[in-house]
Amino acid sequence: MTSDIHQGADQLKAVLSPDDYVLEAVDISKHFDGVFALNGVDLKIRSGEIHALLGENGAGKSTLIKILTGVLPQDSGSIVLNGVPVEFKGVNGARRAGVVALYQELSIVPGISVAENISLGDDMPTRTGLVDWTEMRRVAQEQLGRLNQGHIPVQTMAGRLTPVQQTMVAVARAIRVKARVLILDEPTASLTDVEIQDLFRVLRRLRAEGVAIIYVSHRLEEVFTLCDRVTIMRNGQTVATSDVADTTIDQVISTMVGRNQNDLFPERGAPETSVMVETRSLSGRRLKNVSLAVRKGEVLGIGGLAGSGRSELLRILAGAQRRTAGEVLVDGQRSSGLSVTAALKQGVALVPEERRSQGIILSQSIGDNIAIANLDRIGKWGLTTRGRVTQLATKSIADLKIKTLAAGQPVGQLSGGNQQKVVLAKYLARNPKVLLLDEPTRGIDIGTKAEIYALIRALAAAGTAVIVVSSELPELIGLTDRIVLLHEGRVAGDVPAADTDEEELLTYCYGRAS
Amino acid sequence: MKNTRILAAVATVLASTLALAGCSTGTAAESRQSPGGHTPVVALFTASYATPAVKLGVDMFKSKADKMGWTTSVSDSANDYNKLNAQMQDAISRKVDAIVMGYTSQEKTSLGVSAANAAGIPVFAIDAGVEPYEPYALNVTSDNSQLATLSAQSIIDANPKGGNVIIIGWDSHPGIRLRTQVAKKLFEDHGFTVAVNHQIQSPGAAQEESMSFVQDYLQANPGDKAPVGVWAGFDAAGFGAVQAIESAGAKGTVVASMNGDDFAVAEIKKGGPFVATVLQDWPTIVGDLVSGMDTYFTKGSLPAKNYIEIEGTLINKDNATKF
Amino acid sequence: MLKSGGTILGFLLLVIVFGALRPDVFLSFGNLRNVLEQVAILAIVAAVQSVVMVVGNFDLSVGATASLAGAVVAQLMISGYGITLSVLAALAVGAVVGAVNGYLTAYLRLSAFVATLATMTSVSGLTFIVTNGATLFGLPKAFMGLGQGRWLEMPNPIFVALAVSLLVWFVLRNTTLGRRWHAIGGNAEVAKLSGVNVSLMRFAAFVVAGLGSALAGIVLTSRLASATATSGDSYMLLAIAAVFLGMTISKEGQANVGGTLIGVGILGVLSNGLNIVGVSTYVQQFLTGAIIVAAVAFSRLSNKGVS
Repeated sequence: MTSDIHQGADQLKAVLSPDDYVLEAVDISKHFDGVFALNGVDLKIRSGEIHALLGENGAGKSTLIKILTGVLPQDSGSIVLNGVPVEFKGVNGARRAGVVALYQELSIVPGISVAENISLGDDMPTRTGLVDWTEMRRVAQEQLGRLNQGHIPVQTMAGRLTPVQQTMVAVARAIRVKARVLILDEPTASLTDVEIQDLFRVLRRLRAEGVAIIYVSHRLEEVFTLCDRVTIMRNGQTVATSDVADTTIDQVISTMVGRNQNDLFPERGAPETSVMVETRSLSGRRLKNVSLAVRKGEVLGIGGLAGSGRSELLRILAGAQRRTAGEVLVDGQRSSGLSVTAALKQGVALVPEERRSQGIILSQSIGDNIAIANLDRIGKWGLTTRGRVTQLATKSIADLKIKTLAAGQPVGQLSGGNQQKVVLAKYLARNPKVLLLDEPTRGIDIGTKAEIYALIRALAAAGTAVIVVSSELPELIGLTDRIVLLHEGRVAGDVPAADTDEEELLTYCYGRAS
Repeated sequence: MKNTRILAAVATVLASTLALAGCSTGTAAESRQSPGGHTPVVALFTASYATPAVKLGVDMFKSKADKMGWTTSVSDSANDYNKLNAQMQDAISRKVDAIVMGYTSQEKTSLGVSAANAAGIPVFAIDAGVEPYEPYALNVTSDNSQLATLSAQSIIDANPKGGNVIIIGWDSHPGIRLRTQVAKKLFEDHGFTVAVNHQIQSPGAAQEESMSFVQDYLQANPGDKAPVGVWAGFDAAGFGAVQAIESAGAKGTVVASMNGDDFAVAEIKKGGPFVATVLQDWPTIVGDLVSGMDTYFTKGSLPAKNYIEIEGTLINKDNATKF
Repeated sequence: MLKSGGTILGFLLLVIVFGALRPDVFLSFGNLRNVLEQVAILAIVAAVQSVVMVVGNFDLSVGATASLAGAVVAQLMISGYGITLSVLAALAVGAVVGAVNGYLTAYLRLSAFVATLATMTSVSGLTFIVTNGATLFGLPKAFMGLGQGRWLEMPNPIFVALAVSLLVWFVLRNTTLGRRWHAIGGNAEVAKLSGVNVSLMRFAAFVVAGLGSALAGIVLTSRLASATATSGDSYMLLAIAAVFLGMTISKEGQANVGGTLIGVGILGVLSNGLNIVGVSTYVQQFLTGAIIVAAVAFSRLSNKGVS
């Protein structure tokens, strides 16, 4: 399919004059800390089309949008606007050129009026240096009228509006400057079905006016109802562009997933029969009625879209968040679920999702970081010595092959992979019975990934029950014994990892399994 | 989470109840109706109720006013003169019968005072200004020149041969500034050298500050170079100087100050370096003011002279036991 | 070296300048003893303020708490209670103020600024109630030994300050409690996910600050042989300034007792040296502010140069 689409696009390019593309991203690359976020991305947007931009988490959509709207500079490649290469100076530069993005939550300022929101930025109408309120209200009414939303009162505080009205205000703000390209990132996340239809009407109206719309969404059905064309990103590259009419949801999913990753994964083991950790009708803020069991030596994968309750499940098991109903049994003992301390005492340890904000204290040394999670064990009568801290750190550095100068080195100076090893070391030093891993390999290099996979397998072989949450489906398939998929807080599927594929998993993730 | 909120609410309610209870016991004025008609309403304003001497005078006024049957309110702005002027405006709008300024500086209250004048409300004053001031109906004040003269003279008398003296003052306070000027001139007229005029930074911690300063000064000027006297503009500063002198073992340095605070009298009794303080005669100052006000309330006439200075009494080793 | 040494260099520079200006006086044993005596109480307050700042908060009520404890101990002794009982009661009052601060900050999640500003105001009010606005004096002779007595030729408050500083230093460095406090200050979320009871530890830090401030207030009352409602108030800003100065010494920019003591030393030497050289109070005030800014800015600049 990939090559077909490319051929098709090339043929189109030959026929159409470049003017037909209002915005082009040509061979854009961008890397953070040596890891490519975007690697030679091409995207071509026509005026008067709604163009879906799809891809898995981490495929590079957000980075691309940030570059297109002047939030981030690209490392290489160029942005072409109406056939002319441009360089945006910040968000306001892009905005003046007519390229505007609308983010899910950040688009409006709740504490000021609708009219002020619409005029926010560097183009607030003024008269003799003072804010011209009359003009500002007039502009606001005009823009909302253009969207057929004249009923929204412009003097009301924006925070009082309904979610869809807030979205409309954000759209009005975006089109206030002559917007030529409007980028919407998950605009329907907090809207009801009726509201979504309202929004779609507005977007179609804008399309009729010639505005190009880039539409980012995880909801494929929406994409197929609304959009004209679709571009799919994977691993920081654009892998396919096609007319929506020429493709299907299933095709889109398999393109998003791409080929399997190389052989990073160790051999699967043989889990024991006895259960190590079990949840019964567990519920939380998002989680609804989840019952599952993990055996000794088993590696269980948890998949699902962002917001499906994956991380919450781990946080509840680790005592970092309270459950609202249900119970948890660890090695046959009921768990109180009251605190992380209690969970750690029971042998349940969570390696959290956000390494830098939840896993390690960047300014402190490796030794201190590892010690924090083990103070009850290395302290005697409340006392602890440098010696004992260093001893523990030295052992961990050796066991996990952490590349560092000394145990006293601040972890902020280590590479991402080694930082992740420090987080693992903190908790592994406790010899947990249940190890919970939330995105254990995010943002680290392939080599370290393989080391971590091997480590997880080794722990399982020694009888530890491991639960891994990951957005990377190949990782779940390759690493785990069994995969449970969550959809909107509920268990949507439970499949053996050995005989499933990404497409099957994705259908569960999108809640589309029959 | 919910528990926490409830606790927070309970805590708030509890705190406000306590605060209200505190207010009612603290300020409930047992205003007795004066027989046969209108009870005079008096509003007193001060900016420094936290200062012991001020509190003494204000409380004394309040109790005398209560005895007269007046309804008196006391407002303290804690050194915020902007707030004080605003509080005065409020009192003017509620049409009080008289306003009393307690220990304020006249330069900083002109706004409120002239507003009171414009509204026909007389402004009386306790120790609020060091010279006659037209807008006041009556200001009864300590005779700052006399206080300074008496205390400085004690140091002069103790050192017939003259020598160096240190002054510790607080020029932000007009009364203390005047005292300092008078003392300085007196010392110089008698052939003494004022080696340093040290200014207190935070009057709330004057004792400690004065103690550290004199300690440092004695360290830098030991033995023969040590001053023969330390003159302080108020007792707390004098007390600190005494402690520094005692701890440094500096013989021949004497201290004199003024206010007549209890702790100063107690030190003088001991016969150490503290040789004199001057008792400000609050009963007379407040008494004169109250009788002036009473004349106004009963006869409607204001005193002929609107500025009265009341002399203080020297307290030294000879008479300390009587206080 | 420059990276963390700026403030220490500044301290040494001050000593050298004053030493050069008045070598006979400034560097004499008697004067250095005076400096130590004058900063001893500030050192106690600053040491416990360091604890709160290690946890990532700060306590605006330390000065007011010192005043309150000083007033309580004086009032109780004047009313005829024994010295030991009065001192213990004053310490308990400090602990209670700290507990209130801790509860508001750690459990009700108020910002430390708001919570301690409020307690500072209320505590100040309580102190006026306890003293009735007057100067309390006439304390027992034996009690005065704490603040005015000497041991080995050195004034007692120096030993109290030394003991408190050593204790805080030891706890921060060598106990699990100290490691937990450091972890919370480094990143409270990381600490929580590592099994640290963040709220309880934060609470404890404020109780320590309350206790330490109360001790400082008691020593102050003994040293002054009297108590007023405001005698300790000025320690709050000085203590925070000292901790900030000390933070520039740590590579991670963390509050640390050693640095705090250097900060206390800078403030003490500055005031003593300027007094000895004979600089007027008004100029002293200006110079103190300017030197604090210079020290902090200098360490910032040299930090930038390195990283």
